[in-house]
Amino acid sequence: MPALSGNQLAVETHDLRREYRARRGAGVTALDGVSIEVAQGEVHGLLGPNGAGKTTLMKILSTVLLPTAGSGRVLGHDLATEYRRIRPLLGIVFGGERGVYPRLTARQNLRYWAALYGLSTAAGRSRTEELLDEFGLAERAGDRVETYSVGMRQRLHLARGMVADPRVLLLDEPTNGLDPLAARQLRELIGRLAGEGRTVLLATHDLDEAELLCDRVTMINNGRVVAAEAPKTLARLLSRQERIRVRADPALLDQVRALPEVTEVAAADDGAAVVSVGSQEAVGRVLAFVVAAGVTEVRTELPNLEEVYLRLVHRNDERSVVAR
Amino acid sequence: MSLLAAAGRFQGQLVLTHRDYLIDLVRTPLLAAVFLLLVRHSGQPQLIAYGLVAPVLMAVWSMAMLISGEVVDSDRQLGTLELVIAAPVDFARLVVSRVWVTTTISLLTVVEVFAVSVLGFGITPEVDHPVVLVLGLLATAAATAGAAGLMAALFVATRTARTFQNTLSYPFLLLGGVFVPLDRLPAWTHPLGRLIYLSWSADLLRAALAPAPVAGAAWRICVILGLGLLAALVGRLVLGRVVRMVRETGTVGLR
Repeated sequence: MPALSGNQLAVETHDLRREYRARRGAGVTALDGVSIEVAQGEVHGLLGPNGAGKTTLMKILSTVLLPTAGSGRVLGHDLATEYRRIRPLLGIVFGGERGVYPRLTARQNLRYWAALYGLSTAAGRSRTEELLDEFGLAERAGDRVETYSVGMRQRLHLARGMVADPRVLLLDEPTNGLDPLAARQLRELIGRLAGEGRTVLLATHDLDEAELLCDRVTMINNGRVVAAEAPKTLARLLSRQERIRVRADPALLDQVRALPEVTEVAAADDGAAVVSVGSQEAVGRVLAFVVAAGVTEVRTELPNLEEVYLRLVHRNDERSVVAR
Repeated sequence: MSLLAAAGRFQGQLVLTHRDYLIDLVRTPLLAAVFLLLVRHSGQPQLIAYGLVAPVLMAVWSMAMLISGEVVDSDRQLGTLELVIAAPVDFARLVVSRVWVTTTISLLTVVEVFAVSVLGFGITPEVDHPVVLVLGLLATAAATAGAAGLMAALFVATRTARTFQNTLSYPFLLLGGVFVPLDRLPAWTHPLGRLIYLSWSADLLRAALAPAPVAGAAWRICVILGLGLLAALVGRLVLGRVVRMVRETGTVGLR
């Protein structure tokens, strides 16, 4: 990997906007003024639900899609005009099954991609063998990729993305569709690659994955940046929203509802009740109250990602109102 | 040079796993039999060269179109087209580098057609100008690879490569004088036909099989190569524009 230069940002976008025109009716706005900054050597998460705009942003950064408006730079090179200088610096891994030639072997795939990134025949051969070893594919390197497990294919994707030893690695939901063990192995590999000082931009909808791997996280929803925080900050935000799920008779639930710490008691789909409280400290007090009342079916839970988005969006809206 | 070798090797490996790419090696002997039957029933043995050259040129063109379409269509299906476009490689060069292997393979049809002629019809083709024949075939293969680059631009833009592969081939083959010499077609087709390298190839290859001296062989080979190079250069220019367009519309990876 070439040496890093100065304190230049690895990735920066300013008011990036991307619209898709429709043949009939209104077009779709996939990105609506996205500005992000990623320092060199940083592992940065793009967190958002499906359709949030993460993949569109990844495609713009990987130079296969042009923004409708706004600008962006990768290692100081403009995305719109200097894409030829950006391409050798990037490693790209899109999630899912697609992205390799299934009827060829891992070795044949990697050697081809090495040539596409300008490596000489000898350098491509040597780099291929290195990557096969590093990604645990050496034993099956001569087998057709179509015979691989999903986890092995995804490791091959990652190896392909690393073929030119890129300074910036773009990973679009790389653990999507993997079983927990394969996902964990892949996360370990990503962690190792990040540890080598390379910049990694990781799009995911898995908060745990982001927390495990990322230095900072940008949350995107409906094509807009909702928040850019350190994962710990997000975790704190989550813990503040801890709730209690309890199965109890209506009379006891009325008593719970009357507690000063309780802000809401809502019915869940499975017949249980979900108790929201005002603060993290209050969770213990409410728990103690229901346990003392003889309830045994009780547990705490964190809100899911979508609820966190909603709260963050709500928080942002409130900030906007205050600012006005 | 490294790309040419690597992409060529890669395409060779793909051909070995996709035997359907070699369908023209199966079809060409059958076509040769049909053409030679027509010649026999016409009672004009001097037309044998037409029956030998036409199926070979059809195979060379058809395999090149198939592969240039597959480079786009199949890569789109596999999700590799976006990654190829995001790679530093020049896409037009890559197409030509992948197609040259199959155009070379398609020259095997020469052997097939001669075998059909000898074994099926008892006619041993007389090659009066073997050097011209070999150089003409090699120039044709190279020009076809160049033309494939131009066609790839169309395939990227339209997202329906197979439709164009099927509908464009016969007009090109007809205007290229593959079935009958260009000078037998209406006069208004001549200027257009002469822009298609196939018309020069067909005339030269037929001349190589005839006893009469081949006039201006070197010049005609240069024209074939020149038209192929021109197609490759225009293809590179158009492909660059088309790739820019699909990056704007967001249709690079759409199937």
